[in-house]
Amino acid sequence: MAQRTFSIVANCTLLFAVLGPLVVLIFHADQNFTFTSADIAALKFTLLQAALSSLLSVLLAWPLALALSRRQFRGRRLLIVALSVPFILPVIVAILGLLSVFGNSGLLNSLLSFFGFPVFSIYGLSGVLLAHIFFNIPLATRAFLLALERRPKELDRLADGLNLNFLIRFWILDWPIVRLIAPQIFSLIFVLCLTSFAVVLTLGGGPKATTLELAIYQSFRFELDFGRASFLAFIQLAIAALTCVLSIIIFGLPLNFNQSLDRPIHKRYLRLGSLFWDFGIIILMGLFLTIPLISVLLKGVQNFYLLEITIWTPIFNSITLALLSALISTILAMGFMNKWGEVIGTLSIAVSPLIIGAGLFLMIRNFINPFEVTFWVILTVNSIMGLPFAIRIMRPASDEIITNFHRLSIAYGMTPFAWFYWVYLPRLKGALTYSMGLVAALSMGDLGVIVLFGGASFETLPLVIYQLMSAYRIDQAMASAVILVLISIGIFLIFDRIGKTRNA
Amino acid sequence: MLKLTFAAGLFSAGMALAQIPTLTVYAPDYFTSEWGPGPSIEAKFEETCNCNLVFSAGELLPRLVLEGNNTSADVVIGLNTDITKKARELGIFAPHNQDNGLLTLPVDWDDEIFLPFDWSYASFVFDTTKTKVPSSFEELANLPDDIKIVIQDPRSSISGLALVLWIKKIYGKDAGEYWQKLAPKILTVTKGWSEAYGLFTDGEAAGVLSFTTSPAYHIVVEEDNTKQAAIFKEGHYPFFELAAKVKSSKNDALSSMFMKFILSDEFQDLIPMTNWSYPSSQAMEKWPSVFSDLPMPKSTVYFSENEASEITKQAIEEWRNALSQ
Repeated sequence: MAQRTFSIVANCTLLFAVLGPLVVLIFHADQNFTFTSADIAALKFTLLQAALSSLLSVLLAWPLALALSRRQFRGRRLLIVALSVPFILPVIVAILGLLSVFGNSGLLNSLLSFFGFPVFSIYGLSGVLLAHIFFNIPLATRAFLLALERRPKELDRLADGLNLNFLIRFWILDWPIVRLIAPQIFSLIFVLCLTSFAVVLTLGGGPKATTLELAIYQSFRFELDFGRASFLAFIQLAIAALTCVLSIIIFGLPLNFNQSLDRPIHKRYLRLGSLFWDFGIIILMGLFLTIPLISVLLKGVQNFYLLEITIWTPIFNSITLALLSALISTILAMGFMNKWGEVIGTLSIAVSPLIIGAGLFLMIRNFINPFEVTFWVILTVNSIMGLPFAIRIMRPASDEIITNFHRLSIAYGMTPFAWFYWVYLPRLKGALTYSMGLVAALSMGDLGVIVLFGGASFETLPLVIYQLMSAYRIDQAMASAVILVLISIGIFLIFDRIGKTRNA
Repeated sequence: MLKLTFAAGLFSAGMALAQIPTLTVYAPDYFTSEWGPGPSIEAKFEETCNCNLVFSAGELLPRLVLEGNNTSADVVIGLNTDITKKARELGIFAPHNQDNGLLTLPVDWDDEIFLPFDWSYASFVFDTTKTKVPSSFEELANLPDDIKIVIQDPRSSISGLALVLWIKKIYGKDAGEYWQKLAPKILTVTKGWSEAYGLFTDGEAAGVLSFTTSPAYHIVVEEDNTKQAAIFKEGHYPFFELAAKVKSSKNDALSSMFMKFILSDEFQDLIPMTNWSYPSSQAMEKWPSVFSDLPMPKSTVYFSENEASEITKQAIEEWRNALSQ
């Protein structure tokens, strides 16, 4: 009962926090509901790239997750952690990383021209997709992997024993997981790509590759036409909502595996063919995801000597912000552990931070000046932005624990606290710590609302990187970005370690 | 006893702080950051003003519009010429009351509201180890196939908009045609200046849309003489950064003092090496030699505020259509 109340309150609050600013902004400004031919072109491209990006990310992530779940090898955990890094890089740093491999003078083109082949250009739809799958495969892989690791181990052993072939195995064992996880992850990546703007423009090669987000930014910053900006933001929000609803209601099916004995499996006997296949995938995808990162690391490390002592304050601010928003997001997410929670929880990342910031300002300005409480504004926005990730990571695990153990616990007459502490929490631990690590890292790398509210009195690491770039100091910016990455990996590893410790 | 003295000391320090007035200046992030001109300007002004200058960073105009008459800003610094019409129509700025005759700009400045504090010309900056530097728009479009440039989107970047207006001013109704001709040279279009410049310094493109003053940074800080701004014989589009007094400010005397300070040598001396641009009211003889030695465009092409606002939409559409093919 208490949980239900918490859930309803949380959902309503978030709906208010997301829709409130939009509505307030629309009514504050002159309403302008024009939709130009340029907007239509932008909308078409936005939908195309977002759909393709999310589809490809999910399709490519599945074999990688499957391979990782079947194999144990040295450096596996580090690889999994490293795979989450692209996601949190400042946009321009990630782009430079990708270009070091796929760019005009990148590794691949250098190799091609060395062997006398014609060079290729990354710029265009292919560049946009490449960047988006680079950012999002890791997210999808982790979500699949978490589900695979929770699958009753007896099933794997049984399938091994029966010597089931690839297709039957997929249909019986894997398909239910794909059906459950893929729609959730698809809709999340779709919404992320929907609002992507700097990446799309830069790697898209020109105005053909324009998203609706650019028009929102233009109306807000240059034309000061808040009415039009929020109208366009509404359209974007509606598309996001529709996608989430469709994907979850129509395609997402709950798991109905038999209950597991909840015991770990120690050794599996797999065929040699699948060994080559698995490691082929791991190596290929691993290279695709890590070489751009390594190039970023190299560029940054050789410029470490440029770093100044003043960087400590933003580092400290960013870590504080990251840990607090991870905690808040993850606790809040427990109020959104159902279908509607997932939809509502995703809407927060479908609205541009500029719009949320501006609307929030109008809502609270009569009570408090938000520019004097920058830290709290940024913390709130970051925590809300982390929600959809936390929800998607924890919900499948949470559902399973409830299905498998709740009735038993009631039969034993467990108190809600005992249930939560002894049964629910220990089994949610893996998902919970991954969620904390991911949200912390995300918050760490997010520039977001600070552009409107930030600066001078409160600086974060991404803001400093942005300022360095504006002051020609790209080398120093790269060095700072590497600091950002290393701290994020550190936070990730710590949470990962906590998730792996045994209790109960 | 010691504690008591300490507390008394704190108390009187607090009193002293409370007595001096605060001047709140809204400025963009790049301006207030420790690598921008903000900190040294703050220190210099506080030497004489007997006040506390506080910079507040963030988006300027959207923030002022949201705050309306309740804004705590006394002065706004870092506005651009291409959005002054919108800013003027808000009616929230007061006349600057400074002598425009002191300005040393390439155009006649008679604006009573907006006061330029620095300027530069839009220009393409090239890596001379990769290409010969073109000397006209025609040469730019005719560079070898493998020489590419990066520009900024005029819809999200003020320097991108300056380029579109520049080409519109020179080519008039043929601007669209020129853009089509230039299109194959353009590697990509970025959201803002820093992304484009990042691609350029990373070696992805041989040239980038920036300013005639950009090479000064590389010469001074990196001792690198290979970055050179192309000087086009058609003339260049100037780019001014402006300050303005906020009407609702309760610190009128102090704001006026700051506006006057902007035109003084103390302020102007700080501009070149912190904002990598030309000072707005200083004869060239007083500039650091790196700046006066930079190649200077022979002529200036420029749209007035009203002309620019009339033509912007159309010019951006021409750009978009030409580059979308």
